[in-house]
Amino acid sequence: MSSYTTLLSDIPDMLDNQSEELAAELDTLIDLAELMLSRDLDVGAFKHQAAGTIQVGTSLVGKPAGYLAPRYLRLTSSGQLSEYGSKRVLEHKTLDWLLEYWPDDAALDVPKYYAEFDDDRLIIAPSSSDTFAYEIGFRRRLPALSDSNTTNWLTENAYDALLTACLVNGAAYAKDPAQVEVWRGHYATLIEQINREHRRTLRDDRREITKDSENRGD
Amino acid sequence: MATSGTKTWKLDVIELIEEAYDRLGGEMTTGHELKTARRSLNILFAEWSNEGINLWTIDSQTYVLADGEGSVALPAHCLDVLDVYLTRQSTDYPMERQSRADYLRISDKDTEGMPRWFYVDRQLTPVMKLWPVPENSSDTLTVYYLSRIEDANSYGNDLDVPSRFMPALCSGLAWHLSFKRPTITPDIRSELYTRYRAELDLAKAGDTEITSLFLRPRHYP
Repeated sequence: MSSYTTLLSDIPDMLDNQSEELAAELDTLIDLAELMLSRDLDVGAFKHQAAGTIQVGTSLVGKPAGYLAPRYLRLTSSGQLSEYGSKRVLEHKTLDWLLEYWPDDAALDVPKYYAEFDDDRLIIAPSSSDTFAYEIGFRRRLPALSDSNTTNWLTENAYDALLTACLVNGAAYAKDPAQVEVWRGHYATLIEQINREHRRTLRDDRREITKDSENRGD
Repeated sequence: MATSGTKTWKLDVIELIEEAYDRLGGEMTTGHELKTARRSLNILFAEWSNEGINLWTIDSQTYVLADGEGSVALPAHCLDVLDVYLTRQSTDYPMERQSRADYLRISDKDTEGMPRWFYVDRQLTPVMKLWPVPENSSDTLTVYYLSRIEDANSYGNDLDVPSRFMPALCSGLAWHLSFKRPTITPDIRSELYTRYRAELDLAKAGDTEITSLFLRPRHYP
């Protein structure tokens, strides 16, 4: 089964380089490969949810670990949410829009919008008038591969792309531009295939839903 | 499924602005777009003040008159005076409005008596001139006037406009904002204006007092 351990042997084999110098760089090559894939792949595995609580008077909310970009933020419980149907999805806005909308963060109401504030925090507006449980959906980095975490979605579902990304970086480390181009071309093909497969899954899911609706006569 | 059971839906300032931008195609992204939309909304309110009587903006105020004082300062948000009556010993006496020219023709403006006429000097803060000037300090004057629509300031505030005018307000703001979006073509702007006027006319047609009108010749015995 593919894993971090198999990567450690496959990379030197594919690069035909069993040197100690390369062996010392393998973790770096794997890290760089994971970074490349997190930027290039658009698949469900990078989507994640977390939950938390917003306290009264709060306007800043900490981002969860591994956060890359927001997908949604919704309040899930509070007595003040009853008039909104018990849950409320906040709308994503730009920071300057949000600061114009709610200039006084000491003024409290049920939050309605959120924006990126800085690397670690999101800002909500209006500032929270109650204690709200919330759920946040976000794009994240996958837990990094290491000797204590030998598998993740990439090793199980996209090992070819992961290995190829390692080889792109490995060929660059070996200062072999011709090999870099070879592996880069292969990498681009694999990324396109994986993303296409994911899009097809989404399309099929929608078709199934449509069929179900038609059968029910909705 | 049950109906909501509520009849309280309303728009606040931010929701109105979002609706107007949606009608133009594409949401706003910057704080400037938000700020300029609020400014347009306040300009639209001023435009509506020029449209004539909006029944929900009619306000009233009662003043205790002072002996020999023929001027009454009206609120700064008073756009124009509609009806005035004087109350003396629990009896109301309707007063008649004069033009500036009529008022200026009065040779003795300081004559005291029971005020019968008034003239409205529409300055930035309007002043009402009474004639004859009050002869006591016990009469009261009740003034019904057309007031400005309350400003749109905080984005979370409700609007000082009844729900029946919301369609026209959305359309009107979208039309105003269309001038600020360079991608909006004259054709689309014209379409927005047509819809705005139609919805405003519809709302104004319903914003009337439903009473019978009686026309009666004046009889001179």
